[in-house]
Amino acid sequence: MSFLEKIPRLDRRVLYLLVAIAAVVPMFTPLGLPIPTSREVEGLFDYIEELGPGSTVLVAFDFDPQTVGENGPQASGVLRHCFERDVNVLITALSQNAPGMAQEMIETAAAEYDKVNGVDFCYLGYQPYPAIVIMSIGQNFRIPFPQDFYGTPLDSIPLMRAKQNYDDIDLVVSVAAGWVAESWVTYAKERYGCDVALAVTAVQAAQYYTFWNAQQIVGLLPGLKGAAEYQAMMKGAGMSYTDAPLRGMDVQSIEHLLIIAFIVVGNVGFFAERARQRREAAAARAERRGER
Amino acid sequence: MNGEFIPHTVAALFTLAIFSFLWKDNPLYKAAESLAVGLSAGYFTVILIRTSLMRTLIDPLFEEGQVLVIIPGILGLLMYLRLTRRWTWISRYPLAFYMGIASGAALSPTILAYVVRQIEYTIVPMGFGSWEGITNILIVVMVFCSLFYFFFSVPHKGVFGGVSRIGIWVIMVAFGAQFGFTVMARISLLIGRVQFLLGDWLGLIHLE
Repeated sequence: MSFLEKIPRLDRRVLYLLVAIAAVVPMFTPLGLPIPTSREVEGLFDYIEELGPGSTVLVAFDFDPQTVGENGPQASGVLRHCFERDVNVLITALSQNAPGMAQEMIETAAAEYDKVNGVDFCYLGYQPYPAIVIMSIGQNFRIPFPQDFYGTPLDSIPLMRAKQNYDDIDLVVSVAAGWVAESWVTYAKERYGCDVALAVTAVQAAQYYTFWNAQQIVGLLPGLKGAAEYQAMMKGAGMSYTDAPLRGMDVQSIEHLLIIAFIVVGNVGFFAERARQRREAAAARAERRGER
Repeated sequence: MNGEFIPHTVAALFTLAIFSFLWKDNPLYKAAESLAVGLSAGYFTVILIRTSLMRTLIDPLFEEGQVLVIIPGILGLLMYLRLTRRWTWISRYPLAFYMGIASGAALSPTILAYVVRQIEYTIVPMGFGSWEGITNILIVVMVFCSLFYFFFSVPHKGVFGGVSRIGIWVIMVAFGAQFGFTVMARISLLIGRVQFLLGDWLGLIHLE
């Protein structure tokens, strides 16, 4: 049996090992591959750039720790961008395991920019049934969130005193790993007319391009690639940025090349195996004819 | 050693325990998986009690004297009658109430978001004079062919078969894009974990 014929029988753990090597090695030797930006990522970046100091963006942490590898850099990028431009930020965490993780990310970013809770940002926390929460914000923030995450009544929070509903905010950015992103488009955008942008996992991205094409959202960050593009734009604008997603894209590119190689080699192996089976079948038929 | 070393070590060991499944199923993996499920459920329960039950029912009722919150409170409690055999029928009333409100509130914006807007942006200026015009022709043709693939009132033969075949190709391209994004997503999650293990835990790489 030739090498090509052995490929289909290759232990899958060899593939895992190769994927692991391709993930680890570029971390030590960054390649600095270029990261061209796309229109959908520029859409969100430019929108926040155009907001003046004192504008308000609602950042929704609609993901759990499972997808922090993708959604974490997206949320961090948007939060830092808002703080950098003195845009006020309201934060919700409508995914069940998000509140603690969101709190840590918010407090880290706020400390970096000397932002004060209740003045520059307000963390509203979690409430169940995201679609109902999103709808009721359209009437008043105080219906789903009578208090903020820390238990302070909203009317006692300086930033929230004049905030009633979507009319008082400029943009919603849903950083999501599930269907909650769609609820923001359906209710906040289509029902209440608030501009919405989405930062979603790559798995979801393909289906949400329809929202982008139909101009239902002002921007779309697809997975780690979107986060890397956003951080690259922040870097280009001279802002503080995190290079984790930028370094990650080096690995991503190498991994994709490796997977393409797996597909090509796997197919070559498949056809080699099929040719061998055909040869053997032909030989067996010839042998049977010889016996007769 | 900084204050984060111990929690990072615990997180790293559990990450490695989950990765051990790639070699083969083992008790370490099972333990890590069970712990993740248990912790997640426990955390969610505490968050739910603290932020929802206490702040929207118990506190308004007993501290602020808002008597009207008793009504949704009772409706919520009636849901639990599903757990009894004799009174299970009562649980249908709050459920009907909930479904009625949810469907009524969702119907109009959902049709607007998923149907009307999508149709609106399929009615686009077409032409061969510009790249945008050509792209718009492709969009219209592909939408038409994809929809026709699901039209079963005529046999998919001859011209109809050709249109339907283009439709399935378009759908396959969409599936391919979806699969490509899925691969990218899975690799992204691996990258996140590798950066955590090498950077936050071992300190072998420095990320700004």
